[in-house]
Amino acid sequence: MIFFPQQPTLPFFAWLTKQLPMLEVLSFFHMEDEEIDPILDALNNTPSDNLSFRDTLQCLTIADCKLNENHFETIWTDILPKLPKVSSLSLSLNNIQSVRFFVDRMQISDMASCLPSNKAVRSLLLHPNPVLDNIKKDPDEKAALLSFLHRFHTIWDI
Amino acid sequence: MKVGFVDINNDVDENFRIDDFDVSHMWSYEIDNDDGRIKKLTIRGKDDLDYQYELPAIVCHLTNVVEICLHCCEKLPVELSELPCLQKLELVCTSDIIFDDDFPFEMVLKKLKILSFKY
Repeated sequence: MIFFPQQPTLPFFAWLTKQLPMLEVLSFFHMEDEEIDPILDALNNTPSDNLSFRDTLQCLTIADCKLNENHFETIWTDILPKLPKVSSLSLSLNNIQSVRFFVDRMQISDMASCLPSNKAVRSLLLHPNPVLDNIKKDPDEKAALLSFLHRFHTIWDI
Repeated sequence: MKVGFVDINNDVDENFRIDDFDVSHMWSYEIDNDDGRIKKLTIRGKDDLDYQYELPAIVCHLTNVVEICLHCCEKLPVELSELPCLQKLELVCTSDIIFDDDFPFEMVLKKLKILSFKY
């Protein structure tokens, strides 16, 4: 899991989380680390009830932003549970190499019991990311991804 | 769809070719066929400090605008709050907006459904 610095104090981040009460689609494409990290930080550190689009956001896209498996875990376990209506999460064109370590930790009973279900998610777009090549070469990686899909069984599109 | 140019600076001679046109200075719009009001506005630019601009507050008079796409804009006006129909805002090459200390936090986009950032 990634640990972000303190919540950014720049007004943009407060605006993004508080002033968009009807937002359904939020997308970030081809952004640099220094841009996307504070955005994730703001989403991560804002309490669910304070996110103005908590009950309206349906589609979150963070594509071509150099996200890795730590970012993926943070998005899945910390950010997505605050957005219960999100049915589509697109993380295309990033650098997610593996879900194995996340799944290994997930299978530890304590963590599994407190993991969010993210039941609304139907579509988790990972293509293209290295993990989808790695599952063809590494049986353990394939098993981990299948285990992930078994745990989060509402996903039908990946 | 028909596309045309207005040569407001009288720069163009008979040898002008469409390929010579510099889109970095271009803005475009779509209008509502019923009332002629602007419903979609796009302002293009270059990823270059010389081409950055502040979106003027007068944009709040575009009361029927539904979509705005801004390239290389460095500042947004709080008056965007006054656009009653704005549903989509697309910001391209606008990292200065994210890190603007004077970003208008009080700007509430009540009808906005789609927000995208691209670099």
